[in-house]
Amino acid sequence: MTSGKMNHINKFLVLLVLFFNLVFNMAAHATEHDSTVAEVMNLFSQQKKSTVDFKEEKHTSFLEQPIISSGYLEFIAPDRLAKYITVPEKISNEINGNQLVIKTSSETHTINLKEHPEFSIILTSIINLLSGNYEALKNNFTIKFKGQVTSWELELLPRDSFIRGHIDSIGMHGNKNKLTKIMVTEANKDYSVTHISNHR
Amino acid sequence: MQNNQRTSLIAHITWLSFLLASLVYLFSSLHVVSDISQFMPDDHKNKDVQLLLDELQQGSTARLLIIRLSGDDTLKLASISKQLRATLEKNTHIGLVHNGQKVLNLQQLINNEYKLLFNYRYLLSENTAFTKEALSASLKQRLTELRTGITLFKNTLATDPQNHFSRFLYRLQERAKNTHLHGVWFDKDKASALLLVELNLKNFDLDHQQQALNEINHAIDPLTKNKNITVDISGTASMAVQTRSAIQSTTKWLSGTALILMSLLFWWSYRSAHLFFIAMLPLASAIIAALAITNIIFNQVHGIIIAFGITLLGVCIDYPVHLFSHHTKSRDPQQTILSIWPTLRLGVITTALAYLAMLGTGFTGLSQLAVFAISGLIISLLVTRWIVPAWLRLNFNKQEHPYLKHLSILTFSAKSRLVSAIAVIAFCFLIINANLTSMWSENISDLSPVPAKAKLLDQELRHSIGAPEVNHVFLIKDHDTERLLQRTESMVTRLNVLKQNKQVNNIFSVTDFIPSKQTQRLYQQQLPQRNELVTNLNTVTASLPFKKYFFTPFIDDVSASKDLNPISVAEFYETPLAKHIQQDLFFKENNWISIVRLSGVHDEAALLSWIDTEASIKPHYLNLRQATSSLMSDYQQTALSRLLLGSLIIGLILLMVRPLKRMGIILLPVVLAVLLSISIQVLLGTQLNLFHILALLLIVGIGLDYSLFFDRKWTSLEDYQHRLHGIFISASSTLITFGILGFSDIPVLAALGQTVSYGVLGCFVLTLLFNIKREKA
Repeated sequence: MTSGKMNHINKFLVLLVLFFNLVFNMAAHATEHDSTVAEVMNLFSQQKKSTVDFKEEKHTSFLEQPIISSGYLEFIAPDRLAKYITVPEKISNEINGNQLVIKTSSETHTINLKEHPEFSIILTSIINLLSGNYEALKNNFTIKFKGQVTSWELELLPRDSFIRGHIDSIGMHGNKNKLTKIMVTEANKDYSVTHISNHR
Repeated sequence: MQNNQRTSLIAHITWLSFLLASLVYLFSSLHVVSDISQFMPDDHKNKDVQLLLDELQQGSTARLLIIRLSGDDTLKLASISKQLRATLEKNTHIGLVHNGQKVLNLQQLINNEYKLLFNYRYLLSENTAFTKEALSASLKQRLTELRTGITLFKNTLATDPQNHFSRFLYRLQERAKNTHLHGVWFDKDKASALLLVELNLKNFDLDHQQQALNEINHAIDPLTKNKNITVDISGTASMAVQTRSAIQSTTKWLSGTALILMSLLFWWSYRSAHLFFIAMLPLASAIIAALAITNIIFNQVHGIIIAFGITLLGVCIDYPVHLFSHHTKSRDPQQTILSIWPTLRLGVITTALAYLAMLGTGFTGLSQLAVFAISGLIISLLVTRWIVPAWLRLNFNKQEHPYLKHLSILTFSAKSRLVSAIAVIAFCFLIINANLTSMWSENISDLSPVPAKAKLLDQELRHSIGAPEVNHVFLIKDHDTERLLQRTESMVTRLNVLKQNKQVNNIFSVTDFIPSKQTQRLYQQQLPQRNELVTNLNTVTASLPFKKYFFTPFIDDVSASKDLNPISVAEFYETPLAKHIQQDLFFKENNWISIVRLSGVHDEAALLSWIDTEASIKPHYLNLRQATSSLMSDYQQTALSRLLLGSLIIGLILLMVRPLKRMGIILLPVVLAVLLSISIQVLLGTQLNLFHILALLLIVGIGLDYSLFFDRKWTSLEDYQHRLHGIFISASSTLITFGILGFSDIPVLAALGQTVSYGVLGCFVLTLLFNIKREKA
C-alpha cells in the first residue's frame, strides 16, 4: 500500500521535474533565440554607416532570363539608403526620410513612400534592419528568425493586407551585422535575389 | 369730405389689389438672372466675347475651386495636401482633386472608367513609335524601369509596352505648368501648396455650393488644427457664396442701422417714429410694382438691376418727407398734399422722363433700369398723393426746430454765389481734366458684385495655379462637331508656327485630347499591319529577355485599333476626361464652340501683327481683356451720353414750365453737384464705372427735387421753414442710407453709396447756396 503510494508520489514528482525541465529548457531556448536576434540588432545599431556591393537578379514571369543589375548600396543611419546600379546602366534609388527619388539616364521620379508602401516596404525593411530597429520590423511584419549570430536568416511576412497584395515575403540572410542576401517574392510569384558582398 | 373719403377708399382698394396682384405675379413668375452677359448689349458687335465670358463664369471652370495652404514648412504642407486630397476624393459632392500627384494606379484606372479611352488610345494621338528602333527603345526603357523597381507599368506592359496611354494622359499635366515640390503642386515661390478641387454637384445652386464648401472646410479643419497654416479657398462657387453672405450681411447691417438712424431722425424731426413706416409705404409699393413691371416687360430681371434699382428708388422716401414737413396740425393732410403736389409731380415727371433716355441703347441693363426706375417713381408718386395722406394722423406734433430759424435767415450775395460757382467749376475742371484718361474703369470685373477682397484672392490663386489664360484665344463655332474639330486642327497647325518661332510657349486645344474623326483615321493609318508589327517585334525582342508571345495582347490591340470606328465627341463626353476639355469645347446657343488658347506670349505686339497677316485666323482671334474693356467703355459712353440726353430732357421740360433764368437757377446746383461728386471720386482715386454714371442719375433726380422745392413760391416764413425742413430731412435720410451703403463690402454698392452721398451733400449745400430766400409769393 505504502510502496504503492510512494510510487504514485514518485511518478508525480518525476512528471513535475520533467515538466519544469521542459519549461525551463524551452524558456532557455527562447531566451537564447531572442538574445541572438537582440545581439544581431545590437550589432547593426552600432554601425552608423556602411557601403556594400550587390548583384541583383530579377525573375519575372514574362522574361526568359532574369534582369541582372549590379552596383553598390550606401547606408547612413538612421534613415538614408541609396542604391546605385552601375552595370549595365546607371540608375540611382535614394531614400531620404519619406521620399524616394529614382533617377535613370532619362528620367527622374519622386515617390512619397507613405503613399506607396508597396514601393517602400522593401527599402524600409532594409533600413530598419541596418539601423537595428527590430520594433519597426515587428510592426510591419510577422518575423521568423533562424540560426546563430554568425549565420542568421530572417523571414518577413507583411502584416498589412494591401502590401500582401504586392509582396509575399522578404528574406534576409546575414553574418553578424553583415547582410549577405535579400530575397523578395512578389504576390504574383515574381521574385528577386540580391547577393551582397564587399562590406566596407 | 364724403367725397374725399370715397376717393381715398377707392384709392386704397386699387392700391392694395395692385400690390396683391404684383406680389402674386412675382411669386409665380419672377425670373432673376445674374449672368454678366445678360447685362450686356443684345446685339453687340462682338457677341463671341460675351459667349466666352459667360462660359468662364458659368461653364465647367465655374465648378473648380482652388485651395491654397500656406504658413508651415513645405514638407508639412505637402503632406496635408496629400491627406486632403485623399479625404476629399471620398466625398460624393467632389469630383477629382488635383494636387500634382502623379496618377500611379494606372491599372486601376484602365480597369474602370478609363477603359473606353484605353481602347481608343491609338486613335487619340500620333503613332510614330512603331519602327524597329522606336519599339526597341520603348522596350529597353521598360526594362530599365523594371530594374529601378518601379512596377508602375508592369501590368500594362503586355498591352501597351510603349506607354502610349499614360503619355496621352500626362498631356493633362503638361497643361498645368505648376511648380512641384515634395511631389505636389506649389506656387512659384515654393511657399504654399495648391490644390484644384472639382465640385460634383447635380444641383449647382448657392445652397449646395455652400454645403460643399462647408464639407471642404470640415475636411481641412482637423488637418490644420493646432498648426500655423493659412487656408485660402477661391473659385466661382466660393465667390458666389461669399457674395451672398456679403449681401446678406450688408442688407442686415444696412437695414438695421438705417432703421435705427432713420427712426431717430424721424423722431427728432416729427417726434414720431411711426411716420417713418408711413414714409416707407411709397418706397415699398414702388419696389414691388417696379419689379413686377420690369419682369412683365423683359420676362426677367437682372440681379444687378434689383439691387441697384431698389437703392435708386430710395429717392421715393423724400416724397412723403416733403408732405410731412409741410404738414401742420391745423391742416387736413389732403390740403397739404395738394399744396405741394405740383412741385412733387414736376420733380417726378422730369426725373422719370430723364430715365426714358436710357431706353433703346441696346444695352439690356440700361433698358431694364429705366423701366424699373420710371415705374417705381410713378407708383411712389401716386401712393404719396392718394394713400399716404390718409395715414397721416391729424394730431401729429411738429417739432419747432431752432436750426430752421438760423437757416431761414441765411442769405448769400449774388457775388458770393458767382464766386462759389466758378470755384466749383474750376475745381472739377482741374481734377477731371488731369485724370481724363485714367478715370474710367476698363475692367469688366468692376461690375461684378463680388466683394473686392474675394476678387483679389481669386485673381491671385488663379494666377498661381496657372489657370487658363484667356487673353489670347481663338474661338471657332460650328453646328457640326466633326467639322469644328477639323477646323480647330487646321488652326492649331497654322498657330504652331508661333510655337516653332518661340513666340509662344504652348498652344492648348481640345484636339490635343479628341482629334477629329479625320485625324483619328490618319492615326489609324499610321498603325502598322499586323504582320509588320509581328516581324518588327520579333526582330527587336530577339535581343531582349522578353518571353515569346508576351506582347500578343499589344499586337491584338493594335490590329483591333485599325478597325475601330473613330470615337465621337458624344462618346468622349462620357469619359472622365470630359471634365478637362469642357472649357475648350462646349455647346452654346445652338453651336459647338472650340477655344484654342495661347500661353506664354512673349511679345504681344509681334503676335498681333502676325495675326493681322493671317486672314484665316484673324476673324477668330479674341483678346478678352481688350474686348471687354472696349465693351465697358462703349457701355460707359452710352450711359454717359444718355445721362446728358436725360439732363437735356429735364432742361427742356423745365423750360416749358419756367422762364430760362429760373431754369438755370434750378439746374445749376444739380449740375455742379454731379460734377463735384465725380471729381471727389476721381480725387480719391476711384475708377469710375457704369454704376457711378447711373448713380449720377439718382443725384440728378434728388437734386432736382430740392431745387424745385426751393423754387416753389412761399407764402409765409413758416412755409419757407417747412420746405427747408423737408429738404433737410430728405438730404439727411439719403445721406444716412447711402452713407452706410458706402461702407459695403460689395464694390457696386459701395460705389453707389459713395457717389450718391457726395452728390446729395453737394446738392443740399449748393441748392441752399443758390436758391435760399427766393421772393415771397
